[in-house]
Amino acid sequence: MIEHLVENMNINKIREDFPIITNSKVVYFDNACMSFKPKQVINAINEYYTNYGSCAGRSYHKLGKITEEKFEEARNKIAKFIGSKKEEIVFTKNTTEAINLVANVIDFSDKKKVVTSNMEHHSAILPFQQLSGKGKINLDFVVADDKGEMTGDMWAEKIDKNTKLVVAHHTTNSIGTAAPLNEITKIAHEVGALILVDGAQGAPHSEINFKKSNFDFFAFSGHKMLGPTGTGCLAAKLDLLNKLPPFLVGGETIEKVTLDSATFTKPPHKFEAGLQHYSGFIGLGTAVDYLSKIGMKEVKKHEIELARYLLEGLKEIEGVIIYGLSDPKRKNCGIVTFNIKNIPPHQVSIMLDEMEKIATRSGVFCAEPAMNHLGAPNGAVRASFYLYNTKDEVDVFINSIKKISVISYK
Amino acid sequence: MVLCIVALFVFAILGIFSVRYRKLAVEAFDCAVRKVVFRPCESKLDERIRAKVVAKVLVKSPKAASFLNKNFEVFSLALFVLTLSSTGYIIYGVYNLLTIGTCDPITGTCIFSPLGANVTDTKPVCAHTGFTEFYGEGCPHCEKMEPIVAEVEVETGVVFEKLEIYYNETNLQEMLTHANDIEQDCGILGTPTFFSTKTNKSICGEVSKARLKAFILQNG
Repeated sequence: MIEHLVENMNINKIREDFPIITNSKVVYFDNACMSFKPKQVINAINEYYTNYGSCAGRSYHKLGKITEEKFEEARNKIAKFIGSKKEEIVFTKNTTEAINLVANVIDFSDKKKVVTSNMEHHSAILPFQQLSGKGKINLDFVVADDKGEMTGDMWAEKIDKNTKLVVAHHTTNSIGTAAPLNEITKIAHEVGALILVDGAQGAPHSEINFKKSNFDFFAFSGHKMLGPTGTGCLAAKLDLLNKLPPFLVGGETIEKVTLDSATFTKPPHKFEAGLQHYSGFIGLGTAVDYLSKIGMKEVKKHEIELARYLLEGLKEIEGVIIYGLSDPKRKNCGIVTFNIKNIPPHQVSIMLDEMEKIATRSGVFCAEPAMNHLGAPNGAVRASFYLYNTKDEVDVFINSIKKISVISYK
Repeated sequence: MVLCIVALFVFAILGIFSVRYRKLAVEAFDCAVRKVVFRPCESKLDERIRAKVVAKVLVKSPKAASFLNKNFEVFSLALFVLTLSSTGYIIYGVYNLLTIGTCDPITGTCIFSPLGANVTDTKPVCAHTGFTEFYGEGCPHCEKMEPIVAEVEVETGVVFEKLEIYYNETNLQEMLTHANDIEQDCGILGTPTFFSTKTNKSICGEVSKARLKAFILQNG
């Protein structure tokens, strides 16, 4: 239950729900990596550990039953949040594990081709790179344009009848560009390929409807959407989950075990080996309640407003190079990535932190091929927004960038 | 590279007092070693130090920060040279403190002398000026000469090494080694005797301030 109802987007009220904002007094623009947690989520976690902290799905005592109820209730909430069925939500520790799960359970013996893009996060590339290295798949890449964007036609050129799986981002973590997922999904299904969407930057910031979108797999992280660390989900079509073998095996995944064999249980538990992160997912359930009360459309609108405001400010500063969409009118997400000429990105990031306690990310953002492609082999600085960021914070940021740009030299 | 070496030096010293700096010292060591073999510093300690320092200056003066950022390697090198020379002077100072102590060159008193005299011992351990006064405990002529000797020492900056010979056998032997020279100038061996180790000349007994000063000027 949400203790503090948030009406619309009253930013000040929202900010009051995040104790770390008051405690740290930081201007936090690293939400693409990790979001802050509202006190409601923190309290839910505390409640688990103080009132019933037990195992779910095993124990018949009261505390165990409460844990199981809360845990599965959270699964239900998360499923509803992304428009899927409860049985289609597999809990993982993050998006990376979710993608690895898919990579390691799909049978590539009939069709070996996997198509992805050069703009993906390392976690979406490496599992398939490893498989390709072992000769299990043939990995092909769609190359984005110089702004990091891709059209449906670019994907259509690569996806053919030999394609088993297409791996595409919802939104790139590096520069915030979006893949044309509707088109890609259609193209993939036309050739009988499956589609796995890296939704790490999608689920926290956009309305997702898993059923309507017709994705086969959708992976996302809880820690980027107000949830605790160590929480992630793989949403997958139930008929696929029924057919696919488990990835990690052990307790919880089975119905019956002998010394020679095991009968695996139904999804999603088939894919959730061992004791789960009960407090984490109960917390994540509370996080999706919080986001649902505000509404993802409002969240996205707010972030886009901030991103456009920032872009307008950055465009006025000499020496600033913006990656991805630089036209404020076209900006459609809350990620802005840039460099300042002749100043290494890490230096900019440290100086922002030192001068005004502004937290940004610098480097290649675990997307080295993408940053190389965009002409930033040493990386860049990324500002990523969320529902609790304000225009005042963006003003402080712009002023700091103006000051830092002065020390740039030819 | 020099920045890493300076950082290593500073953090190593600070690390004696704080655990936080020990980790940084280890980082700085790794960084310095890598730079020596022309490899990049993995932890980017040098970049972090640069960014933090420039940021602090930028808040006060953008122009100064710009200049500093542009010439950071030069500043690092200058700091490195200053650190080395400061360390050298500190070591030299500690050495002097241990060997010479804190002696007053005029009065000869030493407040602290780790390897020599203590607080109550007024025997000068500063560098010997070449003049010795052989005196005796209870010698009336010596007592009369005390204020004159003190005045002459202040006015000339020359301090007599004062050796008591009535009760101190070692000092007596020292005087006897110069017996021939002293008897030549004074006729007898007595107290007080003012002796120059440079010229082996001496004057004896109660003498005037002017005569004592002249003796110093002629035999120093």
